[in-house]
Amino acid sequence: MQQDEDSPLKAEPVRILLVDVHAISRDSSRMLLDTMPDFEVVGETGDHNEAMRLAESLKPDVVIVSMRVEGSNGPDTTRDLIKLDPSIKVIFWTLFDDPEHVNNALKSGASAYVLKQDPASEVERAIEKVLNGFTYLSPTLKFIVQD
Amino acid sequence: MLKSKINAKRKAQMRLRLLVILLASLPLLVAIVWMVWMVRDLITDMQKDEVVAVQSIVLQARKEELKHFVQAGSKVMAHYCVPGNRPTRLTYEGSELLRHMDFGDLTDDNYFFIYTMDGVNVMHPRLREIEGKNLWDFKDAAGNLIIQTLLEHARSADHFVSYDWNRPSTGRIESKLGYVEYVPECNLMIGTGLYLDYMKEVKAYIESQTDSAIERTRDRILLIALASLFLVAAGGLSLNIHEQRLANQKLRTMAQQVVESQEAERTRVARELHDGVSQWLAATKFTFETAMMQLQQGKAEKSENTLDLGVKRLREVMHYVREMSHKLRSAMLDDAGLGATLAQEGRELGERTGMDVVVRVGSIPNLQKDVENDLYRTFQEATVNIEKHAKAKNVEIAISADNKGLWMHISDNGVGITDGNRTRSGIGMINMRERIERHGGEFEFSSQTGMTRITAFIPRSQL
Repeated sequence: MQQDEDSPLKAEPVRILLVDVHAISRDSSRMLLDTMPDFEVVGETGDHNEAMRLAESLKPDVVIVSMRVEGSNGPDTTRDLIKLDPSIKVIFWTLFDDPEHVNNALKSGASAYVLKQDPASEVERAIEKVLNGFTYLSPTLKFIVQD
Repeated sequence: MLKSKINAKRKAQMRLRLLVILLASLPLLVAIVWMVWMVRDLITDMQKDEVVAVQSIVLQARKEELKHFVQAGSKVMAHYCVPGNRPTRLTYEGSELLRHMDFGDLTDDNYFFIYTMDGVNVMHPRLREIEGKNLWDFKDAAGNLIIQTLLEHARSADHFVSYDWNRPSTGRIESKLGYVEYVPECNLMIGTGLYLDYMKEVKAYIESQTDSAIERTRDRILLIALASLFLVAAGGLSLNIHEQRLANQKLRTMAQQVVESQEAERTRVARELHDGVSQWLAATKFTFETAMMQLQQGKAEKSENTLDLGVKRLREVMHYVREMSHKLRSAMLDDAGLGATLAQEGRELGERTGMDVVVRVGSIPNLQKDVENDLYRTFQEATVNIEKHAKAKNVEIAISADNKGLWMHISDNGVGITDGNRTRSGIGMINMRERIERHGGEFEFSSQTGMTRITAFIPRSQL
């Protein structure tokens, strides 16, 4: 992928794989992430198997998934990604803000859960946090009590 | 609405069923009455024959009996007699013996009588006053010379004589069958007789037997008839209950279908909102956020393009929302009314499908909201059917009103709804009919290849 000329001082940009069934979401998410300094979307897909293939070949630092994945779903794709590479960080970026979806996502091994409704800075923060080994939950979801 | 209609329908069906049960029972009842009458007649006929047969058998037996007794009696008498014309003391001894020889047990009136051949009574156990008297000239009420006749028969081959005689046990004159024989050893006539009233007793006995047989048979037939009627009624009733259960089940299934389809519709709308509108809105938001970020990074030119993209996406969302609401309910119906909506949708149908769609809108009054909605839904159902299944080139839609009410015609020249392709159109038809009839209207449908037409009419009072 193309290196951003405006941040030549940065060492390595964070390599991101986008998994989202909606093309319009992938387009706009990619544009947003690519505009952020330090991030680089190295691949995108809406399909589960393609996601596995890309994760293996591209070795992304972070995979951003949505709830809907062609041939599977967000949590199952997350499990398979972690199985493939236990060091991989998965961030959910979705519209679903109900406890059930959040819990399913976190149980599947995701490191962060951010809502598309949140300001764009939330996804930025989430990426930083998970790369530093933290789990991150969108502040909008604070009401969710987890075991 | 639907429920009350089904109830009314069920009531009509019940009435019909009751009528059928009555119609089934009536011939049964007639048949049974006729059968009872027939059996009665038959048994009465049989009884007459039987009386005749039994009487003749009994009479024959009795005749034999009379003959045998008289033969026995005459043997006894012969033993006491010495040949000669006049009865001797010995003769009287013999006759005394016979006096006590009553026989049989059915009546008291079985006895021997003895006469000399010139008509003098020698012995009569019941009428001792006539003993020693000459009855040669004795006549019955009809003027028959009874004793002379008896004496004649005693000597002839036919020993049986029918005559009237005073029956001792009743004191009445009754017809009697006599048997007489001539005893040559004594030169006497010995005889006995059978009062024929006895035959009446036989007849009465047979009749009482057959009467009870008739009663038994009648009772059995009535029992069978009652059982049959009960079975018919029970059958009808169980049919009723079964039908009612089916109808209830149907009603429940329909209610469930309504709930399910509403549920499915809501799920579809929710999914469309999430997958469509929300994703587009999120994407639009991302686009504006990108533009903001680009502005902060001093990339004004880039941000301008991104903002353009954001506006474009917003427009797409607006279009999407409008399309969705269009599907859920024609927004126009509320604003512009039915006529304009049909014209607009007809035009769009033509543009979308390439069919030649003609919409004729006459002057129609302001309609009640639910009438307008049901007409619009009927129109939608019909045009969706045409679009999906009819393969038509021409579609004609007409709506007009006069002083009777409002008419809506929708016709097409497509393949028609035939038995071969009538798959799901049935429910659509029922829906349309239901929508029109709930306003007291009439719904007509006709279809053949090349011409399918629906007509909906709503009376003026309901508009």
